[in-house]
Amino acid sequence: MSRIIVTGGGWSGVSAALSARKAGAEVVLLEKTDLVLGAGNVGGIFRNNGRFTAAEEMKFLGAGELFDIMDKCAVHVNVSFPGHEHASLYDVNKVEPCAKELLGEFGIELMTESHVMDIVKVNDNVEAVVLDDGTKIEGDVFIDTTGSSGPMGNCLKYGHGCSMCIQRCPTFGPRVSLTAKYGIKDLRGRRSDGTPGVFSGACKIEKKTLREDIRDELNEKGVVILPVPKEDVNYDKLGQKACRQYALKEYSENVIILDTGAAKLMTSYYPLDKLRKIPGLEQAEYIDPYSAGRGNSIRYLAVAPCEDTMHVIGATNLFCGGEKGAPLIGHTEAVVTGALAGYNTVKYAEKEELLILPDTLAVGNIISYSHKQFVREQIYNERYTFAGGVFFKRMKELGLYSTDTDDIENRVTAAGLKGIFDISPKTPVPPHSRVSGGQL
Amino acid sequence: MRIYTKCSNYASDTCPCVLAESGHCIVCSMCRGEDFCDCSDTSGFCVMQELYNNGGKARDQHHMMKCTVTYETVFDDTIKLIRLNIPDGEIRSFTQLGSFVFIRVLENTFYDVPISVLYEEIDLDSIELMIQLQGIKTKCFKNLKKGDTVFLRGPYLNGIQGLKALSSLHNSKSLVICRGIGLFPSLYPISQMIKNNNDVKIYLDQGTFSKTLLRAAKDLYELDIEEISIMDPGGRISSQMYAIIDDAIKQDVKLIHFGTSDHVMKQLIDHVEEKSGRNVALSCINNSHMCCGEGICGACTRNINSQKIVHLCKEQMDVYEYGKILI
Ligand SMILES: Cc1cc2nc3c(=O)[nH]c(=O)nc-3n(C[C@H](O)[C@H](O)[C@H](O)COP(=O)(O)OP(=O)(O)OC[C@H]3O[C@@H](n4cnc5c(N)ncnc54)[C@H](O)[C@@H]3O)c2cc1C
Ligand SMILES: Cc1cc2nc3c(=O)[nH]c(=O)nc-3n(C[C@H](O)[C@H](O)[C@H](O)COP(=O)(O)OP(=O)(O)OC[C@H]3O[C@@H](n4cnc5c(N)ncnc54)[C@H](O)[C@@H]3O)c2cc1C
Ligand code: FES
Repeated sequence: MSRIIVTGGGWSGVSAALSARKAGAEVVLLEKTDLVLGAGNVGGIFRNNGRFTAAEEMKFLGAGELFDIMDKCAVHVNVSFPGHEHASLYDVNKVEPCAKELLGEFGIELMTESHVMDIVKVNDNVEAVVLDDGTKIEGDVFIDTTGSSGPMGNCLKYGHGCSMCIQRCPTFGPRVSLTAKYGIKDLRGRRSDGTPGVFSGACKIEKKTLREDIRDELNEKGVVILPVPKEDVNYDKLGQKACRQYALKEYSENVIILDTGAAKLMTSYYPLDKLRKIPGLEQAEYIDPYSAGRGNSIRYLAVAPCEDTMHVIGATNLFCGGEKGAPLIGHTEAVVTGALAGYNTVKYAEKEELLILPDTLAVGNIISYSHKQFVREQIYNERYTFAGGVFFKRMKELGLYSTDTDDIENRVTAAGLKGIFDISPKTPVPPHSRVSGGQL
Repeated sequence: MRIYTKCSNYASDTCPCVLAESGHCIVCSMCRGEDFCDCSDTSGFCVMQELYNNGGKARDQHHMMKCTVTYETVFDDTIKLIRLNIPDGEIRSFTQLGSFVFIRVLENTFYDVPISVLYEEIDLDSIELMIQLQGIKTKCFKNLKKGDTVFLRGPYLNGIQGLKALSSLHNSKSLVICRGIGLFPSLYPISQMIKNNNDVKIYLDQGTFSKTLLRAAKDLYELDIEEISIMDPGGRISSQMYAIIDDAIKQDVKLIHFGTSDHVMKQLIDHVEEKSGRNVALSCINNSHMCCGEGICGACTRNINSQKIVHLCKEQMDVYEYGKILI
């Protein structure tokens, strides 16, 4: 049985671990913080626009478990807000324990508070990753799903300093690019003005600090839109944002708040005194990032060049998923690339042909298109998501956008890939050799 | 494999230092003028952020302090124990793992000697040093009397290689091997390991020490020491020494600390590597010849495989790798 080591427990790492496990491997998932899901703990929006299509495609491909969790934790379904249709919003306070439980059910060895600081490379092959206490974790094939936010130096130079986001680098240590440790140069995303790195595009407000009528409206409808005082409208910020799908005029002229268990404010950062000028937000307080009045985390400064199989170009037994493996935004996107990476590591270990998801599926198309643009054409100031921007436009043009599940099932069947990820583990689930945190 | 070093000064009272200010920080790629953050094992303290918050300037650095000798005694004519009074407000944590000071007597205007801090008494603002009178710099201390003045700067923090392994050892077994004066810089690591509930076995080769000095050292620091000869009469490492190490590895000792000369240390480190496959953690005293202690003058530098220059006054290395560069 091959042994796959996944570093980084965001949506992509969790997805990679699951699919590698389902493909028959023994899997260890290493996460530096005490929570899995990474940026997924502060997001919540899924099934909006083309993400609906992608989620359904993944279910028919046999990798639906994580979407089931999101659906189960949804506090609102079928929500519309500017530029977005039929969104679901999961409760960011409920989803993480569900993901941990699922990892346990599948017999994945999760090691939280395990910060990877280096790799051991012998003759071009990765033999182990090294934790910051010196422990070496050996494996056959490795997946880097460490995301692309931080570390602190980047947030300082390209942002406004460490904003105390969910990554909590000061406590748990910096994000480390395993592909860079391998010797492969990270590619860097840019803003529209060419500055490296982009701001994360949302913050969380403690719901209790909203005025009661606003809070009630948010609880009921899932979305509240409040106009920004004229003197405070700032269109410049749109270009700095990571999220192309929210780089719309409406997002500068209004504050848009969604209910994800917390009040999710759809802007990178917003000075607290100005925020409190908006009627209804007089007592608002940020809970992620804590310094959202000043800045947010800086992302996309460490994207590795990957093939469409998620194998790292120029490396041997190293794969990537999520933001690390392509300039993709979103939980759905992370789950897609993570699942493919996990599956392919096992194929790689077994010396079988690696899978490429075809362009006839939205999930295959986004991988090949983003890689073509970013890695080959070197267009660094664009990011890709099923939910908006250039890729959603492309989905519509190519007829890939659909909310008809029969239609989606047919295209997955036509591609000959129905249930491809759904191989149940070949061997019985082994007992946990080490489970930290005792949460399983 | 790449050779990593870490800065012993990282996140201390004097970090960021002048190296960071001038674009030569050991830890932070961005302080060195690179475009992207490349840190991999720091937490809690971002040098770049601290430098920025301090207006791009180094924190207040080590400066010369004028100290008074409050007690002195000489053993065997060659080892001098001195206790010093630190001026008001200057006593910061002088005894940390690895801390040492640079010290000189009044008449000597240039040449500071690095000496480990054995003991500190915060309430009395005093620290204790044990100096072997060997050559031109240390022999100046011979006639130092109570009430005399010395100049001192510190604390510097790289007196021990393997700081992380030492400080993270808890509830385990460790072995300490010292020779002569090497015992004294090892005292703080020993007490630290004992404090962390480790079972510490200490072997001492008296080296040039007389029996009286040996007894004095044991009594002074209440140590349970076993005596051995590290060398055989032919000047090679004795088979008894090797047997003790082999046995310790078999007994699942987690850390071995060396307080010997570099020449002996090098052979012992190689032996542990061969026998344990680097599975035992190591630490050792730092015997480098130093001058500034700030990573600037270059007196302490070694060239590793023509790849990298290390400043041993500041940089922490993997002790197995450190063994390779010892001469
Ligand atoms: C504030 C914010 C709001 C968002 N909102 C939404 C939304 O509503 N809907 C949506 O679809 N998308 C949203 N996104 C985008 C989406 O969350 C991300 O694109 C996606 O979750 C990325 O997943 P990932 O697994 O690639 O990376 P991450 O989530 O960044 O996960 C990386 C993980 O790796 C760990 N890690 C890093 N370095 C190491 C190391 N050295 N050792 C061990 N572990 C390490 C990190 O701790 C982290 O858990 C949002 C993003 C942000 C920042
Ligand atoms: C971090 C650190 C902590 C130290 N702590 C102590 C301490 O607590 N007590 C103490 O007595 N000494 C200590 N030393 C060693 C002390 O600094 C030297 O003995 C001193 O610098 C010698 O200077 P000198 O001018 O008297 O002799 P020199 O004229 O420089 O040398 C005289 C003789 O001693 C040898 N020698 C010089 N320096 C060393 C050395 N570092 N290691 C081995 N042999 C050497 C020379 O080769 C020569 O044979 C420490 C050194 C360092 C780097
Ligand atoms: S002693 Fe001056 S650089 Fe190390």
